[in-house]
Amino acid sequence: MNNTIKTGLLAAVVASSLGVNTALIAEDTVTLSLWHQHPEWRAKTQAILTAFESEHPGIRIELEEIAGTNYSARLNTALAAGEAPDLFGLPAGPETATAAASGYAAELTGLLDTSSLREPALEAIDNDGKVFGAPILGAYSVGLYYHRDILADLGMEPPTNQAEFMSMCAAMKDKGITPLVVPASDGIVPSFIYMMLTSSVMGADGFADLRKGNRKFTDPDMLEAARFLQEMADCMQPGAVSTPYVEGKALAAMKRGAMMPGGSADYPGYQEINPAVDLGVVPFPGVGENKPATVTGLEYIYLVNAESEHQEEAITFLNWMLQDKAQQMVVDTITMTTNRNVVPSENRILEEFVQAARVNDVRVFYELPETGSVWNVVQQNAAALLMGEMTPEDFASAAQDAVKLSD
Amino acid sequence: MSTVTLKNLSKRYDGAAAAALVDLNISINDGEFLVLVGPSGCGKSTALKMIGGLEEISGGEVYIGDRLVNDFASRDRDIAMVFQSYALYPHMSVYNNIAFPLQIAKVDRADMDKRVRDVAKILQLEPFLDRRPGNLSGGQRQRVAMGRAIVRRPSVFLMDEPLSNLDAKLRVKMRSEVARIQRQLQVTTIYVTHDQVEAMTMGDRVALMRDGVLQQIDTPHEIYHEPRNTFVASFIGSPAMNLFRARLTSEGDHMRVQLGDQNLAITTLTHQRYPRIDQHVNGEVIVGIRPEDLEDAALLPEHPDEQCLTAPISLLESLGSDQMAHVKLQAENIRDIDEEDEELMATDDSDGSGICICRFAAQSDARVGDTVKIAVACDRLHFFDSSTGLALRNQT
Amino acid sequence: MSHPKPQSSFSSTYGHLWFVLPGFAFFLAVMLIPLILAVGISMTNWTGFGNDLQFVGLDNYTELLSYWPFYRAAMHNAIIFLAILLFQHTVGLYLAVLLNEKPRFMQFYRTVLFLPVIMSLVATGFIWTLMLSPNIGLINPLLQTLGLGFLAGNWLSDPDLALPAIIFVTAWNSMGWAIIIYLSGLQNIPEELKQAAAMDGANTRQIFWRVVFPQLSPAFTALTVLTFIGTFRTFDVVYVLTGPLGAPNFATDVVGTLIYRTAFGGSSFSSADIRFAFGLAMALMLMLVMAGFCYLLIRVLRSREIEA
Repeated sequence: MNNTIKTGLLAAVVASSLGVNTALIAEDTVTLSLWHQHPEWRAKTQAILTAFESEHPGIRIELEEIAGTNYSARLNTALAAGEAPDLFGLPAGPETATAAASGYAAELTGLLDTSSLREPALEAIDNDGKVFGAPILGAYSVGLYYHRDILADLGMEPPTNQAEFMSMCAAMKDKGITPLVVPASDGIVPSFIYMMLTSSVMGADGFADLRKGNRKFTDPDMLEAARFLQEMADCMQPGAVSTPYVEGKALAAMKRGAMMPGGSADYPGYQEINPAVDLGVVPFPGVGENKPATVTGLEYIYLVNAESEHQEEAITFLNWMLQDKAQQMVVDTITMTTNRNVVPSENRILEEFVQAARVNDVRVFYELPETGSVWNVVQQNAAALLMGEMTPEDFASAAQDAVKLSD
Repeated sequence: MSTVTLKNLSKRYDGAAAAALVDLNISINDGEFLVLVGPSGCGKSTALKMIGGLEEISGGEVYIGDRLVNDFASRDRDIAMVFQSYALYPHMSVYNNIAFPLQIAKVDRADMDKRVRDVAKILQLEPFLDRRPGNLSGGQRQRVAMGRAIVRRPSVFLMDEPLSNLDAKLRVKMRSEVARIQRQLQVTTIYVTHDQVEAMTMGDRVALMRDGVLQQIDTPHEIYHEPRNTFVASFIGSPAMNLFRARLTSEGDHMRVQLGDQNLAITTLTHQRYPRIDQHVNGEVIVGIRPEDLEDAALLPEHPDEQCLTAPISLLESLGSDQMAHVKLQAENIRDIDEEDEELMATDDSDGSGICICRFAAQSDARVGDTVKIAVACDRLHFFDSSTGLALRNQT
Repeated sequence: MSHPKPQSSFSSTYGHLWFVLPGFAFFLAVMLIPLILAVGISMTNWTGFGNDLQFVGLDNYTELLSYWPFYRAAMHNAIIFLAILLFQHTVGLYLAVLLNEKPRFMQFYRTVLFLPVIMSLVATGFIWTLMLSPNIGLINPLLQTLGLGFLAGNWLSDPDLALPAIIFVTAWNSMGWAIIIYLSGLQNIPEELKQAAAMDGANTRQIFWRVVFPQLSPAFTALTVLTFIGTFRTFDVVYVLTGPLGAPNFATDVVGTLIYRTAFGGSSFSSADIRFAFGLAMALMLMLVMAGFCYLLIRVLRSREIEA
């Protein structure tokens, strides 16, 4: 044997020993790994999983919570490396489509009992007639949270349009109160605000037009949305552009600001930080005289790893989650559901979100192929707009440039 | 050029049980080469560093010329020092090492260049001026260190074991070199060494120290031939002086020294040198005999019998020029030296006998095991008080 | 029993290489092979997702040459490097000199000063975020209490202060290295050398600058190179303090965060802008430039060291 061969063999041995298979082998019990991106829900999510396990003693779900900022990097790398969990969440729409096209996700068409799903959810999980994911953790709407006690003390009502918002903002600042808490360090919350502002201008129909190219972010009335966002910067807490999400959430929960943009799924987090928190929800104030608006998206939908050895059990789990019983737990403890048979039994905030979303609700940009990239561009430019280093015109045209019209 | 005067110079380190230096009084003449010698830990380097201003003075005074310099920084004392490690600046060329003190003193460039080259010439360093110390041999480095010291023309040189890092052969060469340069420059020099050969060959005077206390300060000749006490007697000279416990007896005018069952006549000359032995007649003394004063009697047929000893040879070392005969005497060895680097350790036998080292001429036919007759140069015997170890001379 | 074979000339010449094999195999597995794969992938248009990729040659690299966010990020790295370098060679050196005087409680000071180095930068960075926050931070109230309220600022969101804040935390974190490296350099300088200089008439300042400082050049080299490498691969401080976008408005964006965003994405909602291969090209380009610069740095700095 010559030296080269020996070296090669040794390297191979070393390399293979580094990739030792660490799968747990338990008798009769199938363990499914599941990655989720809301560590703040851990207790509530685990409670639902435990309920599942008690009904299916042969299946164990191993939940791994990964903070939202790291989640996609971790997941993408794991998928590329073939080390992804049996079940993983992804945003419905382009993200799911890409995972499916890449062969990472098993096709679930016809395997899921989607009979109880509301129409918009069915639409959202449909990829040209194929289904790859189940909306097991429901949906969320984003609007404006406010501290009911703070506003009551000030004798104010929540704002419905730009003028009201700005005059409230001035009044609150005079009293030393931070009007709006926005953690803008990663650009996500400002992006949600921009989606709500543009939605207030264009409405759901306008959004459809935008995706067809008949409406533009640079239209004069749409430009006002970017202007309002820039104007709003003065109403935010000091250092908003570098405030991390966790700090912003804590500031909001601890009443260090009167209002904050947020989603229906954020409420458990606020309660976690401050159990005495007294919040109300309204749709986000409209641009100019436009109606206020909310945006709605599905929570990450759950996909089955195409390489999983336990796809059957994974599908069993997803179907169980779609049933009324599990969805009741979701809607009572976490966020809104997409199950038409279930209504929240004890969650006032969700009721208020449902009310808020009745006014003018638009789907989130990133769930749709035409506007997937708009999200990224808005996220990256938000700080520049807020700091005045970018004009509303440039901001809007950058967003418009990111629209990919479908043929 | 300057005198150096030490008055009651003392040093005590924090937390140390014993003083490192006790009341040192030395007057060093202008241009004198004084060697401070002693076993390690005797305080010689401490004294030197205190003179140099590198060590805090605990007590006493240091004068350079007639200036009290206790509170002067090193650089204000007009002294130069050669260190055991040479302490050359590794990042500078030989030229710059030598020129450094002049650069600091902002000596005019042309003058500086001349002085550096003069020094390099004296020390034969001219070919190496551009080298860094790392590329020099030990002897060359030593000379650079010397050069750096002499280029400033200070009043006083301090040298701290400057030759101890050289090999034996080079050491001998540099010994005379250093002495030559010192005589040429006529700069007052204080030289610290633990090597008694260096002390004897180089110094105008030698100051021998032990445990922080000055034992004797004298010319090399005096310190060798008139040791003030048993420590001096045994430290100076190699092999060391043989010291035995002995009794003095007297028969009329003639005194004899009893070594076990043998005795030796004390000559008039010796008696004159050690007049205080009179007080110890019939008492115990320590007698000292240098090895070179013991010869194979076979080579000296004229030698009087009463100045001879007989003893068996237990070991014979030939040095070529001489032979060192270790003989066994029925007398108790005295050792007043605790140095580990003592060349020939004579061992006490428990039976009260002791080893005596004799330097026989190369012509001696004595063999190990022979019992030989040894001629003792009784004019050169030394006597010390058996309890204090002090020489039985009239001491001032 | 077989006879022992005579040693072949090959094995007597290269036989000792066997002893390197385990280390080399490990290096091969975790360094060389991934590096080669990375070079390969950087010449494709792979997004990091799926199996859809084409060979595009050096397109990623040529695009990179005119990709201004890369230069902006690299400029921030360079500013951090220069600032930290200056800081370490002044404050770090000064503290090392003070410690070398063996002050009372030296062990304590040394431990305190080195502590940030061994603590997780992610953890300490998070604490710094909290301290620097204008809303819940300790720094601004502290300044106000000290009567220095005019110095209070929006440390991480003011574009003029954010990078200095990043530099400050990096300096705080890395000062221990400077001190330890300089201290070991100082402790290697024989006492007699300083005594000799004192004898030669030099005052304290001259002793330091003419005798002590030149001997610290190996420490200077080591520290400069380590600082260069450390600051150009910095990621954690920025990611923790100002997020994956190098807030505010990329004022603190460094190559590390840019590579992270490009290769893995900076948003949890959309991976539309993820370009893994392009990110790899950036990382490899950074590695190349850094290696070249380190080589030059070491050559220049070594030439002024003493050949001992």
